[in-house]
Amino acid sequence: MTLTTDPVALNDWYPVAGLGAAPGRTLLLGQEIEIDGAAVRRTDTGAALATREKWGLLFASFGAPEREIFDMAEAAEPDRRFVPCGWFTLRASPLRIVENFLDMAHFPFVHTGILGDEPHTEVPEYRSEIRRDVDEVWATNCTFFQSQIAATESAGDFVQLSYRVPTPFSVVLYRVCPSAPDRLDAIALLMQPMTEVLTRAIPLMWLVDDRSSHTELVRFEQVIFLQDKIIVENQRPLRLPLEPRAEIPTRADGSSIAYRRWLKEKGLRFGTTAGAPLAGTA
Amino acid sequence: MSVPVLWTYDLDEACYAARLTAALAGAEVTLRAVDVVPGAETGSAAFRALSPMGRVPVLVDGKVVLTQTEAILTDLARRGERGAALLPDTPEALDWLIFAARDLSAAGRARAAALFGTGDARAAGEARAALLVLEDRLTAQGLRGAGFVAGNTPGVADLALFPGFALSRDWGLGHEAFPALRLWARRIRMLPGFVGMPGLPAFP
Amino acid sequence: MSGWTPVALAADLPPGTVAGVVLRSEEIVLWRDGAGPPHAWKDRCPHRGMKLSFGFVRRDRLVCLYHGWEYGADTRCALIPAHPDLDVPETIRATPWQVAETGGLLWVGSRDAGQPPDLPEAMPLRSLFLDAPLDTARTRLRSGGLPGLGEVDLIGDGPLLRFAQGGHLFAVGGHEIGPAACALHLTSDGTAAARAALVPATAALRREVRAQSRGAAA
Repeated sequence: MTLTTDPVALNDWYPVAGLGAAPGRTLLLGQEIEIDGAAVRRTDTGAALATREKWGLLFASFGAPEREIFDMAEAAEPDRRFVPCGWFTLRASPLRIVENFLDMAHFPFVHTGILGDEPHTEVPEYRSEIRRDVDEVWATNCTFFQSQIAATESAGDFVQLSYRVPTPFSVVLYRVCPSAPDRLDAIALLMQPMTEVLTRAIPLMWLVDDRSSHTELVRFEQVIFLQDKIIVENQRPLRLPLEPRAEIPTRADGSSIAYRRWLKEKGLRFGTTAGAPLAGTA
Repeated sequence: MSVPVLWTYDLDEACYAARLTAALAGAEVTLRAVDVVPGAETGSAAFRALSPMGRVPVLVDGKVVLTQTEAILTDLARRGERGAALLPDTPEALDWLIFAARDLSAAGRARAAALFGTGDARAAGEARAALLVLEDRLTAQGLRGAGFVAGNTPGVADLALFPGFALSRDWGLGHEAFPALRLWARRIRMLPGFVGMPGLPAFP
Repeated sequence: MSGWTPVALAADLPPGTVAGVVLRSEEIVLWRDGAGPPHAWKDRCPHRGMKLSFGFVRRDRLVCLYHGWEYGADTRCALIPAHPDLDVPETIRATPWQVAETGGLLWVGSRDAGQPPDLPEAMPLRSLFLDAPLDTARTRLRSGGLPGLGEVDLIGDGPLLRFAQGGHLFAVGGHEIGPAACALHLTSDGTAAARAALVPATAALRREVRAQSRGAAA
């Protein structure tokens, strides 16, 4: 196991531990690192990594990122509930996880009865784009029919969603709150890329909800997230192909197409089929 | 009979076995979600007062508190209107129920290691060995025309064993080498009232 | 060696079910529609690469778990639920293997495999998955049969290994999963009860082969 040589991956920030976690070792971009308080070092050379603290997490970078960790405006709103949902290890490429998070067409099949149900399977047209001014991928005007949009609603309705990809290894969902239609719930999924096909994923939520218990909110997000695990661990190849002809997208995959094009433009190799050769079959 | 409270965590396979048993037996329970990850609520003083080993599931009915999964499954079967047939009333049924509790418990530890980093990664080898033994059993049962681990009909032992196999892909063990368990799991999934859990593919 | 390889017992794939198998590191999905013949395809949905063996059979089509794309027996994608009114282009297809059912086994073949073997019916015993190279497993079976059943009488070594032992007739095929893993597909004569009684001997073979290959590795 060795550190990637991919400069795009090296020059980014990644969560590696919760603040105040016990000292320990973990993997980042193929390299074992040691965490002790706010200090992060390579286990092999002892070299210190740059660190930052945000949202109760310790971030680290092997390189010199041009940008700071992206912002979440919602984190500054005092009436929001901040709900960290834990750390989950998946045997999957972090990029496959981001792409799955952007996908609505799987709701009725993977999140049956929660985010969607047959026969309401159609993905209406939405807009996806690479925003050059902020260098992010966005998908907007996304709607999807959910037969149980909230516990309080008995009739189904279309949920209104926007997606934002602020870095190659993180993704945010904004959802119109059923209880406060002029505001958006924000759910971020951050990645600690341990290897090209092993990832710790950290869901964080900033919600407008004064009714549900904390445990209920965590439970809801964890169930959805774990339903996706079986998908991203069983896609072949495990790593994300960026060549347009490797897979067959449809109109519903507009956000995925924009995301892959953006990654290709950046020249990212880590976690893609252009990365280092893998031992074994996948 | 009063309605008991089942303390449960949705991502835990033993809690799932309890919910599955309650659903198939038709036993009414009040679910109480526990924030195991990341809240570590099972380690809290309040939870330890209920369950001294700090484990879910827990089944509480008045002063009676059950903290051992197999006792909980059996009690839920006893309570449900369709549950009598599930009770482990033969020596073999009890034997396989204890196999689930002892030998196949490695599957839960392997899964916790893979998912949360809190279990025992070496448990995967033990869990695979236990599943091979179970595969042998269901192979022989299948040839004898008995679809379940201790007979022609499902029992609490099947439900206690089911998550250990059905969720094995969570810790990296595919189902390719277990044809008898694959067919057995399908039979369980087709039982009226079956409920799933995250990690099990949806079923038509 | 012919271009056909047995990869499963036919009885282990009832109508309406799906199974994944690995042949020399190639992932293959086997499925059977309501009543008809078996199908063998590359275990990968061309849309987003999801393994089709996680899917299910509905209306005689194989449905991908991820987005519900439905593939008919002719490999064509017939429905993309995200665009229910779309006339799916006929170029969207699963990638088929040749498949045959004979001798109580399911066989897969490459496109140029020719005619599949024509074997007499046989009763299923089990598929036995071993942590050993296929050659090691075959050699062990040819010399000693199943542990504890006595003398082995080889009857022939065609596409299947046939032998008599302990009053039973066995026909065994096998496939390589990887360099140190294989599966043997055992069929036998006799009643179901007689075959059930042979299961412990097959488990003993698995333990023996494992100990042997561990010894060889040490």
